[in-house]
Amino acid sequence: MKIKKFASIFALLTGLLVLAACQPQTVEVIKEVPVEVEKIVEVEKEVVKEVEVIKEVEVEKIVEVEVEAMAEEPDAVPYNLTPGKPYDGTTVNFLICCPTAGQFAAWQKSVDEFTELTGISVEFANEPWGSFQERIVTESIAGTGAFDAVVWPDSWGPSFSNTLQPLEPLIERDGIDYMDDYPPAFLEAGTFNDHIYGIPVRTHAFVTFYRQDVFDDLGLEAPTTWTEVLEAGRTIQAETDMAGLSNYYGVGSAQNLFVYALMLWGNGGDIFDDNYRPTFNSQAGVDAANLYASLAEIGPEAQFNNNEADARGSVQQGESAMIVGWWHFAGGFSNPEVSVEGVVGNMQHAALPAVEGKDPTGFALSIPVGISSFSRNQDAAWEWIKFISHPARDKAVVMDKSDPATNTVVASHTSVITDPEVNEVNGGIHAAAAPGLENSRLMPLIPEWAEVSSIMETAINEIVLGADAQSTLDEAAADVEAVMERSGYYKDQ
Amino acid sequence: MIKTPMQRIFAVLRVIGVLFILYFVTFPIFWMALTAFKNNRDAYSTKIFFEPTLNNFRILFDGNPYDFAPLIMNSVIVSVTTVLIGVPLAVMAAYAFSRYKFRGQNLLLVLVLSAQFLPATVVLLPYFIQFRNFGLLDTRTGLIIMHLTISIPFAIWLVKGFIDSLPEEIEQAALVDGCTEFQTLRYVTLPLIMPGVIVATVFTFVGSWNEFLFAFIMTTSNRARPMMVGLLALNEIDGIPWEKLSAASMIIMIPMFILALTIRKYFVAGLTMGAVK
Amino acid sequence: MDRGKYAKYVMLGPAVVVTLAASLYPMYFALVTSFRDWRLSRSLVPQDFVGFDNYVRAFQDERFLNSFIVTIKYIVISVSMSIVLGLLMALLLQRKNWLNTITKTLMILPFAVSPALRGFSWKFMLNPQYGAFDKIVDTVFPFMADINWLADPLWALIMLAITEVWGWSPLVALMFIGGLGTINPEITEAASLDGANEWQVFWRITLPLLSPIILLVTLLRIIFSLKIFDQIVTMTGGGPGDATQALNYFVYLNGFKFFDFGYASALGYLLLILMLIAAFFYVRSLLGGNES
Repeated sequence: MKIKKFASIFALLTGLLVLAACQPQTVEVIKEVPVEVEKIVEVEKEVVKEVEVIKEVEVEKIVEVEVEAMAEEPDAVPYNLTPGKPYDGTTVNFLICCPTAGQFAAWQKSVDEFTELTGISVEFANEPWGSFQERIVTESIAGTGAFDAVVWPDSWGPSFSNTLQPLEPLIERDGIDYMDDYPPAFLEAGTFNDHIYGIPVRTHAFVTFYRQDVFDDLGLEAPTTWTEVLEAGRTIQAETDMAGLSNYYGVGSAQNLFVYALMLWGNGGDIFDDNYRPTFNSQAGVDAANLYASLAEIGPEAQFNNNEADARGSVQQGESAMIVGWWHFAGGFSNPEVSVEGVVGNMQHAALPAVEGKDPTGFALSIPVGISSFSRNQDAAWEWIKFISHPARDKAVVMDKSDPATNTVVASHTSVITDPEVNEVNGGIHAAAAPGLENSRLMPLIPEWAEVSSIMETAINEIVLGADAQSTLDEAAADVEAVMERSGYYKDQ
Repeated sequence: MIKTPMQRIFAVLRVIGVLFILYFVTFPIFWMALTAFKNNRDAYSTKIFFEPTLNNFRILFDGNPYDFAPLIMNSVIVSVTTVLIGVPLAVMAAYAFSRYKFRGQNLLLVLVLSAQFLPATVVLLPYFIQFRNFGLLDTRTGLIIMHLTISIPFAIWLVKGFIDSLPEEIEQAALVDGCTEFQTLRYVTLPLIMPGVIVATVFTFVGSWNEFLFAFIMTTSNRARPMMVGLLALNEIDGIPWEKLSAASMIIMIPMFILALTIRKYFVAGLTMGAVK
Repeated sequence: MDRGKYAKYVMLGPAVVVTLAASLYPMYFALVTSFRDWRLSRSLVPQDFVGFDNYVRAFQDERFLNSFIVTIKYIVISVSMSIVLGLLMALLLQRKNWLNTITKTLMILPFAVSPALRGFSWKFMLNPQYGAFDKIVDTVFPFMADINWLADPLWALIMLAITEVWGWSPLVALMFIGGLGTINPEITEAASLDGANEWQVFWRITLPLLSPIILLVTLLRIIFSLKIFDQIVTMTGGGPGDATQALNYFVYLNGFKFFDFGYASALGYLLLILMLIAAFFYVRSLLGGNES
């Protein structure tokens, strides 16, 4: 009796709301956003026209300007900035994550210099890494225009391309001449749907770190293949109480796919074929998964639940002797506040291990910076982007070792990475990564990547914990195919 | 009574059992408290003796990049206001739901509860859009309204249970004596259900104090951000700094502990009264 | 009886207005979205109505079914642990002495710790390298030293439950202690005189008398367990594999990670139905005695 009554109330409620749902007013709130955008774009066009007039007069001057020459020419400004402070008094709201990242802290420090040059002030909206994605999602949908410049991890980009401004017109307008001064993988990370949406500013290359002292004691050489990594790891575990390699097999943010993808590519395999059919369950993929799982033998106990940061922690605590990871790890490894004695000063880096008998493959990840479509200060935001992405600024940030909070090795420009001065100050880590960067690859830049990577990371985690590689990957491939199918990838086939 | 050896063994086992409970209940808190005074390196060890430091607390207030002082203020204002508004409203509504019969009563109750039962992640977006339209983003007022909508349904539900368990005759006597409905509620019913109201107060306060997801989305600056958001902001791309997280969680938990301990007796009485009739 | 013609509206009004004014639109929006195709990666604006497609898809989605099974397992583990541990604690703490008083006082503390923080602190303590809990278990129970808590599907689920049980079982114990206090000692004494041993007294008399509390706690815990979310984010990330991807987390994944808000909203409403069923039984058992 009661259940019936209850069910009928619920059905009635549902029915009412469904009926109401059919009225067109439902998305009123959201629909107004594109209108706003159009307005902004119009305004922006006018601004562009004005700027073009200025540009015609001063374009030659700007191109020739060198940072050192500034003092003599009071009108000209460095870093390709627009002269004459046209945006004086505006504020750029900068949506950024990770207040503890050294490079971002360095940017925050440089705001004063930027304000002096342009009259623009910059507000950092520092979001915690763990909630950064939620912030970007809500902001994209609600389009409050609260943020002008935005950074994002490269693989999220394609999902949000409709909230970002293509940058080519601005790059062309201001004669940005350093766009070919990036390793191809970095530039590619901000480019999708045939547009450049992001300038690479926080960029990471994958390298191997190992404990020089431990390797010396045991008479080991820096590994060049995964087989050597495994052998070195076995020796270390037999001779010391350390783990060999700090793996990060945990699920949650698809970080266990980094090393797996490296092995997959090294084996000549790939995640998708040209038609976006999943191919990671090929023989190359299965071999890669088995190879990856075999490394568990030399990993610390926590590896199955560890994410990248946990794994790095294990090295910093002196519990593991090797890790394959991003070059920015070097910052923590040299910081006595977070790394134990023995780690500081003893972490050496080497090129990435290759699959036995195959050519080495590189892997890169970047956080590009772009302009939000909802922004009302797009030109001022662009000034800020030019400032932080300029090679001279890039170099200045990695050269500055005066403050542990802003100490970083992260640099984006080829000219900076190969700069002998930079390498000297940073222990040659850039030189070690440079060859790998030339043939580096990225995770696929598709809007479905989050869902695909979630399926894959789960499968890899299961394989590492003992599931059969072939059947697990087959199942994952079928799931991935269903995701792609639903997105209409195979319509023409 | 004469104790047999068997009874003695049981007595000892019982004490061991109680000690085990004490350990299970307090150890995680004790460990966090300990970690709060460790430096980063010691935090990753199981050392009990170490050189204590107050650095983790200092970092949280030095404004570079963490600044907890305004966050504490926001937390206090939001949670206290939520309780002060939410609990009286919930008690009145619970009384009405419990004592009066009217058309659509069940529908209304289900509707009020449903809002609470939908997963937060599903309603987060529309809430955000709605709050933007009313200009309530990044304001304490917005956060208070948000927390009221979360806590009132549960509080109604809870208090209604207590009122339901009271015989109606108590109030009828008062009504016959010429009291108004409000006087009856205030002077007759309320004292009798006080333990239940206290339980609702605790749940409301703790819920508001500990709420993270909505608070995070609805606020973008220190103007309105509560402490929970600041705490989880410590979970960084570089990993979780356990020692700082522990320090921040101590700051967050200690007021909760004081509250819990002061009203413990009433709280327990309330819990029990709600369950046993 | 016809009481309070106007008073009832004045009393109901404010709470209902505050709650519904803020939550009706989001509920309505989510409901409408659940019948539409809205993949944020394709469009910032909801697209076509697709009827019940999103709901139908859920029942063909193995990953949804997995999350459903995970949730059921989690509920069983978490509810039974809360009650068994709560009962054990209550029986141990029933007698009055200073140790028990201190314990009972401190028992209320874990409840005040936020769910997200519980996840963090237990993850920290379970770490095989530097986790204090792991170290202690390894020392006290050497045969358990090989267990990697968060790498084993069942243990991970149990540990996830522990984070909740840690806060709840003391509350449950306090409720039981209250319940035991109301049991007339004459009844148990009479039973003892009749030759029943302690065990029989417990099963035949104590437990049945506590059963209303057990029922209420069970339902309350089911409702809260259906919402398990924060600790999954901060402790397991859904792993190992997808062994702790409970429903609420799966909804979150589809919405905020995969940007499929149409599907996520449909999943949200399915979860709502489950919760309403549990809530219905809760309300009924709460009112049970009075209405009949």
